[in-house]
Amino acid sequence: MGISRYALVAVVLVAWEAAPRLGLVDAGFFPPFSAVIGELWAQGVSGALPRNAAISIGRAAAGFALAVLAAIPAGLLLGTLPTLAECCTPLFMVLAAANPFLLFHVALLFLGIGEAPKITMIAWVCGWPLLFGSMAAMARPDAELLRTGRAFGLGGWALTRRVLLPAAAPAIATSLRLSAGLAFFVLIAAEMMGASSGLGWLVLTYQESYHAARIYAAAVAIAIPGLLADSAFEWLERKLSPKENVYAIE
Amino acid sequence: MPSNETPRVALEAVSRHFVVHHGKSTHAALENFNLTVEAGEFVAIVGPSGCGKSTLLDLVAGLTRPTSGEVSIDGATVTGPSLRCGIVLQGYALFPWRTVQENVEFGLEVKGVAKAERRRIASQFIELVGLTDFAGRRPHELSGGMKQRVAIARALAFDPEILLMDEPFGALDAQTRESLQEELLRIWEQTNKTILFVTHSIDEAVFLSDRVAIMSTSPGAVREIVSIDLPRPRTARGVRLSTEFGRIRHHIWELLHDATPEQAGASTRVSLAVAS
Repeated sequence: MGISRYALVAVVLVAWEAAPRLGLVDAGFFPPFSAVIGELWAQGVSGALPRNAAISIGRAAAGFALAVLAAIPAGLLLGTLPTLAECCTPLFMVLAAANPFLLFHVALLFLGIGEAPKITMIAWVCGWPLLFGSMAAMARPDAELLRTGRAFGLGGWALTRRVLLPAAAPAIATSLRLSAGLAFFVLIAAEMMGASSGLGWLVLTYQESYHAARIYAAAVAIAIPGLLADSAFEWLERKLSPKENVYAIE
Repeated sequence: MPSNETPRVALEAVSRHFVVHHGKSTHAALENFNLTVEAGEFVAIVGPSGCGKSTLLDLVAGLTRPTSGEVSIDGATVTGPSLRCGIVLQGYALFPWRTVQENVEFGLEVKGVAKAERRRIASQFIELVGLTDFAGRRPHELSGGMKQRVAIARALAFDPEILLMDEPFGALDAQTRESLQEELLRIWEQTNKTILFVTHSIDEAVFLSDRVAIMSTSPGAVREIVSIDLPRPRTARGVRLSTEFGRIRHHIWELLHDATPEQAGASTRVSLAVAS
């Protein structure tokens, strides 16, 4: 903990800075870290990075929100209806396995060029882990908790609300975290395939003008919201499923 | 009010069969099981693994229905779960997202008791099991013995007449187990609950109860009921070393041991010999 956690990161950054300066790697392809930070600052001040980052975050958030709204209720419902779930699962498995980059072109045909196909693609990819995660969490409740809840005379919606949903919450938080990571991953691909704004598109334009330092700067700008989302859901996950016997007494 | 003749819990000729092997056969967990428990009585049920002890508690709790026969509480047939029974399981089954206080309040919430009243009653029962200083903790911050104390408080707080306990101390170390046994007796004497207590341990059954029902296995039925006439209040020191305790324990041990393994083993050997 403490300093040792960041030691390796510091070593890598120093090596990154030194290697191009010492002529070990071509600075044209691999600019020193300070140059990347310089570009991050310059593009930040000029407004190109913040403007496009805001657009990208908006798309990721919209796609993710759509996935959450559609997939989690569907998963929770299917988790309580085993027969229907059994019917639907094979189809869902096939759909989840379909390559989203190919589907993007189908979405373009139906939804036209604009925000809709990008957001749809993000929602599509984010939705599956949420659907399967919430379905599994509801379908396999802890047998003893279920027995206890029923012994208190609970059934139907009361049992779901007081026992099944809270018991499923930690597993759902885990699928949210996984899914949020995918949102940023798919976002960049979608923006590179057909967009005129956003960080993915910005990286493409930097690449076309051979601006390696700016590409790295954009990569850092993309990583920040991704890491923030990940930490937020990790916090939620930890809050909902505390470790067993951390402070055990006796 | 039930008359003196109406037992608190009655199981009359109860059978419970389960469909197994994808519907190809049935397993008789209980067959022609008879037991009556008076109000305020402490009855232990001992028997080998798989003799249907847990099924028995589920029947009284209304979690499952008998295939034939009748289960009744105060003379009324049990048709489903109700707040007349509190249940305590071996694995504690505390709600991990709730604090000790909130776990104990659970049954009161289900009953629709107002918040302030809930807090007051739950605090009383948390005090009864000696966990007042831990009311704000979550289950994962407690030891096994403390968790089981919370489970007992939760099962008592909404004031059920009957406490159903399914090997509640089975997962605890010997020392914690003994102290919880004494604590349970103290709580039982204070609250006048009717307790049905399932256990593997002959010692535990004899120490705690008024009567011990010894079960035979496959299918589960009552083999014999032994009355425990040890004086109360009982303490480990006073009771466990007495000759009477040893005599009863030995009697039950013999009943359990000639009940199944040897006989079953012998008959298996015979049938194998015939088959070959």
